[in-house]
Amino acid sequence: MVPYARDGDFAVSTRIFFSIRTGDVLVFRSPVDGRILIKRVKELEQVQDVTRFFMEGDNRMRSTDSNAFGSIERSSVIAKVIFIARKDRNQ
Amino acid sequence: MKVNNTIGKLFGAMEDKTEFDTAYAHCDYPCGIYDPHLAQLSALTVVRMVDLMNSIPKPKPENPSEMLDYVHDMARAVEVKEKHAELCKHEIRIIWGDYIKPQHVQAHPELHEIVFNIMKFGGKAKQEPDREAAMALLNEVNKFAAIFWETKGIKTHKAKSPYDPHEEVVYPDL
Repeated sequence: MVPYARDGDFAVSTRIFFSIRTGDVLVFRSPVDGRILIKRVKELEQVQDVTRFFMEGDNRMRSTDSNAFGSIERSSVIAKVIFIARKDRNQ
Repeated sequence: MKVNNTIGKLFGAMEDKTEFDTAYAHCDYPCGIYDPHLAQLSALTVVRMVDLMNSIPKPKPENPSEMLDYVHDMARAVEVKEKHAELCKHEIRIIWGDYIKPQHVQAHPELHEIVFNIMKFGGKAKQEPDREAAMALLNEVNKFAAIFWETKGIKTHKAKSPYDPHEEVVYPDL
């Protein structure tokens, strides 16, 4: 997710939110192996009256995302990122 | 930003005492190159090797030189058959695991069964010099290829391979 987030940064997120829009950054479970991932919503897909979210990393060359595992459903979303707190690299 | 630095320091201090969940942003390298062609070629090779094994002249037991040639040629054909049956299974597993998405399965509910059949017929083609098993493998791989190209919005046609074993293969209309 470089440059938005770097290794070790803190993703301050909320589990309570009212909507998901294109451009939002979400924390969600990977449909492949259940790992917790952080990616940006690129597109909202309407599949049989259900909204699915096409997730893409900002760093496209290093991102395994919806281009590989497909769009995700709402139940996979854990939280919405409010902001990124940079890790203090001098600590 | 100064505020962000302060918050970062605060979280850094909390990190030692609290366990935060880790969210990953990247994993492996996405080349995005998928094509069932190699699996189809491998299945065709398995058929071809079974044909070759059946066409190798039978040696006269009393002629050691003929016997040696026979064992040698047969060993080479068996080795190629083994390798290509495994390569076919490997290629299908990669496309199935890395490329196929839930919406593809939704559109083609038979997809998982086709992959399962490819694994089974691939195994059978390795175990036995059986043309029927080899053809069953090729047929299932062709079904998989047709679905793969459909997911890309590319039409396909069937044609006999312009080389031995001259069996039907699904080709994309590019």
